[in-house]
Amino acid sequence: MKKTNDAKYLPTLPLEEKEELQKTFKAAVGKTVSENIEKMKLVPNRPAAMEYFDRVSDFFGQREKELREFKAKGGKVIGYACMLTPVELILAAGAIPVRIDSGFYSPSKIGDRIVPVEVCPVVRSMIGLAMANLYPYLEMCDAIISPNTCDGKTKVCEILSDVYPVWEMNVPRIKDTPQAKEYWLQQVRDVKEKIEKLTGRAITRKGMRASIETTLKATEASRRLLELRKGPPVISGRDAMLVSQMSFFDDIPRWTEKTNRLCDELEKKCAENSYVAPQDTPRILLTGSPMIWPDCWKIPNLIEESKPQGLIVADEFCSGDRVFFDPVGVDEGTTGDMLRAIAERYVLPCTCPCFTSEDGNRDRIDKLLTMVKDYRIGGVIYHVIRGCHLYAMEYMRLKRVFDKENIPIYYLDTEYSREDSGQMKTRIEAFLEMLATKTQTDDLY
Amino acid sequence: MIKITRLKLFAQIFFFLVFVYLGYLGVRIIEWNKIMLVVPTLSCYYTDHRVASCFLRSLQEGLSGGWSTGYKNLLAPVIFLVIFGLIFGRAWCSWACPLGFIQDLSTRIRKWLKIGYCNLSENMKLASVFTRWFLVLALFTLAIGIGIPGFFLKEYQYDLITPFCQICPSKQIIPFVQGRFREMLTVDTISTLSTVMSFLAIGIFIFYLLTTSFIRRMWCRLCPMGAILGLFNRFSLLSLRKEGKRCTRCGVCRRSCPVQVTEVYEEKEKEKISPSDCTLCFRCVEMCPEKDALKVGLSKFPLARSQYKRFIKSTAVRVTKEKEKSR
Repeated sequence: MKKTNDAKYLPTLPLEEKEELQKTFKAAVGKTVSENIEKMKLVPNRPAAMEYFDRVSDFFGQREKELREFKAKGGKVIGYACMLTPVELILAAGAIPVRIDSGFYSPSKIGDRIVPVEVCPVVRSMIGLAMANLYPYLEMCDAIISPNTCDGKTKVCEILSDVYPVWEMNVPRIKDTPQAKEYWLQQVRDVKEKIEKLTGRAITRKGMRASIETTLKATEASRRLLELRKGPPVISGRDAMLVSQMSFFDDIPRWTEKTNRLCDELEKKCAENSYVAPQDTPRILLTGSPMIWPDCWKIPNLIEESKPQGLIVADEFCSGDRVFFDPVGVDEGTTGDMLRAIAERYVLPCTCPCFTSEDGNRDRIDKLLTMVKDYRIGGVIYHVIRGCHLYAMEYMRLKRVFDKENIPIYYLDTEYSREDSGQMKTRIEAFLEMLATKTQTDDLY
Repeated sequence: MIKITRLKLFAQIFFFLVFVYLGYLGVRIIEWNKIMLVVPTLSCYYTDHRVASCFLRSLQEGLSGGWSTGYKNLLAPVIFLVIFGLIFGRAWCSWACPLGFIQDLSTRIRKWLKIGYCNLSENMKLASVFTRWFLVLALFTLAIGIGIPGFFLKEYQYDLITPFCQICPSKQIIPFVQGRFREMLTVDTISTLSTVMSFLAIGIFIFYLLTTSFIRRMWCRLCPMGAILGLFNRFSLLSLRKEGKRCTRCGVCRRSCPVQVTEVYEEKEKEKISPSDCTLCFRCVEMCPEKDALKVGLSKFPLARSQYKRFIKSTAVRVTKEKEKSR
């Protein structure tokens, strides 16, 4: 705990209450995680290599111990609140990056004391985690890097600055002007200096090279998995989503190795024709607000368990397939060029609706349309967490394009709580029913 | 899958050897019915035992000697230019030109020394376009002018003969690579004008040497030959093709383009991308991580496509294979 006096937002909770909250939180998380894993294990022909990710998915396990040991030896852990953080720089300084986006339901109720319930649950949940000191990965952070992307992330990091040193990065919302390019590069340089100061280690050319290599390998593994998902259904969408989410706090080289091992197994399964679902299952593309492990698993569980069943073959989430998708493309191996490559990788190809350009966020539409073609998508589910205005507001433009292309798209707005699961179930079933009949009639003609 | 950059290096070495040294093996200018082979690169007049003629040289000779003959001598070089231009566009600049090869070599040395490069600002880019068209204009005016009887330029016909060749950096470089050091940096003192031209030539040569290491392909942005060839980019068979829908606009192509072409990054609609600055080096194709987003096309037929594997092979950050270990 770094700062206690002069709190701007967060009240200090009494110790007993904190302990009580910590206990209930741990129990609640344990329950949700094991419930979700049990559900995922019901999928037929589930790859054995998923066992590793199941283990990591329990937050209070091996990885927490590793991080505590790392910190005891003087290592630094740097949290980041958004996908736009240049992880390579953290790695190059020998620190461990941990993504602190929260998918927990119970802390969001604590967050309600500070911000209104209309605010996005990711934000409320993060506030709750910080206030009652619940989440070990957040607790261990020596600093938090916060790119100011959406309103929620911008403000939550201001609130978190009551407890942690927060380094904000000002993201240019119009991303492809020359000024924006220079400006963002300067932000990246500043953050680099701050990381160097915290860790006491200079980020050298060699260090950056090695860290870029690490993320390139991770990108390669992640793309390999994506490539496999374009084919017959060998992995359930929930499993694949879990894999990409575990990179939030897992050791990246180990994560890469395990993902590659998973892909090896999937290739074998492909050859043996052992699938997780019938081949004609409607293929679903998820897009919109991120679905974060474990409490946001409500919707994917419903999609893949409903009757008729749907199979999530791809997602366009900043918590999912986009985490390791765009590579850092270094043209020349100089420090300046690598920094520029890192800076551009995080802003230019990003399809987050917080960006706009001459033609709005058209890159996102193009990306989704190509994904629909490449993954042979039957229907798109547009997931919006209540309070995520940017995604909600972009829906109409997307819908018009998709309607013109005759691609079914369905808007789902939901919350972290499970109160609406009954309603969600009905809506998802109706959509999948429509898709299933559509595939049948398509087959007829 | 061979790296495009490596293929290009082989092509450049091959053409360098052909244009600069092949003559020593007894090959003379390739002629057919007294028509010289003209190539649109700076295959220089100052080469001993050259095998082909530079288009600019033939153009200037044809223009200045054409008043009495009705510019008949221009026909052959222009036909060659059009044929080569329509097939390869400006690819000559990055795949065959000896001056381009030397610029690439200096870039390789700079990369090896881990020294960064400078980019031209937008204004400077515009200025470079103006400069190269000014050079084309000057070349035409002077070359035609000295051929017209009675025109005041006729007086200077011996000082201004082939005016561009006199100031081309190739004039110094070719003697250097052929080991004729005495012919480099010579000052002609016959008249004031020829002295001025000599000093201008030395100045341009020094500019070439200074800029080439720190600004990627600086000379190509000023070269009048490049300006003329650039006009063919729009019609050339060999071309850069883009599938805009597959582009994530990650900006890698823009950053890795040696002549700072931005159209490849910006364009989303048109399939063929043909800015006149582009030297068709296809660095963007090999650096593009998105499958099929960029293609090297021979007309519509793709010769090479962008893909992640090619990208991994082409980035400056080497990725060591560990696949064996994971299996």
